[in-house]
Amino acid sequence: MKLKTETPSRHISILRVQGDVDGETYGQLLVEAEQLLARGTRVLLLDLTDCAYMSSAGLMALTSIFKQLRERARSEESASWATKNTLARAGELGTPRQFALVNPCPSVERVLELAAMTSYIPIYRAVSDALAATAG
Amino acid sequence: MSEVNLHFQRGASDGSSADETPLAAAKRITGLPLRAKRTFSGSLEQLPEIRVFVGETAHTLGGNEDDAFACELACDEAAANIFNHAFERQHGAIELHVWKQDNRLVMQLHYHGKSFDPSRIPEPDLKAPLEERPTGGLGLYFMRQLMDQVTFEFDAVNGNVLTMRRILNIPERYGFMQLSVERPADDTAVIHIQGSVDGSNFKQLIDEATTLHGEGVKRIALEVSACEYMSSSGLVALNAISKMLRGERPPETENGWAVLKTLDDARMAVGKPQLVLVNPTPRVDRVLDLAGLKNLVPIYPDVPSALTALA
Repeated sequence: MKLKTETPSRHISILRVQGDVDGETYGQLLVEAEQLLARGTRVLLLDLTDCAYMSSAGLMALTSIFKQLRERARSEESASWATKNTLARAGELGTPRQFALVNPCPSVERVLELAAMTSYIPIYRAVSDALAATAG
Repeated sequence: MSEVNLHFQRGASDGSSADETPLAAAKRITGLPLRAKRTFSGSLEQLPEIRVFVGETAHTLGGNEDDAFACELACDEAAANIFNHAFERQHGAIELHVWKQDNRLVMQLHYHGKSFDPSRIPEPDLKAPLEERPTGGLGLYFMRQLMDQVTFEFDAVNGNVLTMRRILNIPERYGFMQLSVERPADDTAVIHIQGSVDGSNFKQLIDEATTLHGEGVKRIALEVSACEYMSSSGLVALNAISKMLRGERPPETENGWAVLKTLDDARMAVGKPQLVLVNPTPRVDRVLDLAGLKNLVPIYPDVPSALTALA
């Protein structure tokens, strides 16, 4: 499995997965995503166009990323007025946090369905769709 | 019952053609029931090879695409659990046997290592919101979902045996969708959808609507009370049908799921609805809501009220 990262703007990252996400490789995906979140990514799009296979290990990574984004959103919401002000001045607020998948193939989508995850993590057919939908 | 035992090695020098696996060659030559066996030594880096071996064997033994995928995934999950837990991330060996018994594919994993009590692994609660679920723990669940039988035998001396069986070629196992059509008026159709609309069959739904459209249908109510699941491919179908009924060019579906269209312009649909949904389950409703498709496809509780809205 190979990963390629693109950061079209300060808060948006596109992580492209090439190859299989399984028990051996999911850790790499998780580490890369966590680094992006730590560096200020608020919208993370996982482009699965070139990912032909995902096992439950891959779903573990997706679930963890989803939870971490939610957790960051929650702690930001409950931050003090002064902290929020500082963040806002630094341009760190605004874009709602979002994690979405782009173009999973039928077998990957089926695994997501098996785990009942598709109603929590939105799926878009193209990066441009995902960007348009998350621009709000 | 006589069987051909074969140590399955790709690239074996038995004079077979490059594309034909040794197992396929043996089956062709002997016509006997077959058993493939291969040992995988190491750790998680073996998983891709295991998937290839299982997928090829499942095909050779007569399984369809769905069977091959299910066997690959179940065996991958089983092997990953063994490498992680039974071998405790040390190197170890799994001897994998695959054969056909009547209409079932049998996969058996022989290994030495730590045992566990499968009855103590909790079934995941997939109705819980994702943020409240534990991260992980789906491996055994997948194995049980994909296989018809999963049994564990633990023996510290002779080794452990994990056996998984799956009945092959059941057509309605996954992607089962049944459509039935009513025509309350010349230009109006009600399509009842049963089962699930997903990546394997959403084009069938588009095709049905296209046929009706060709017969003069301008308004469609999709009655989905018995539709248990709708994937994002199902949403693509809704958008394609909606576009077609509005007289716009439907998106290209020739290149398959990969290039199907943006759902975005769908959200901006204006004017009188020509496509409505009747009585979606909460699960389907949630998918529509998440995709912001409720404006495009209004929802009615029953067929009469849907027909009134369409008229």
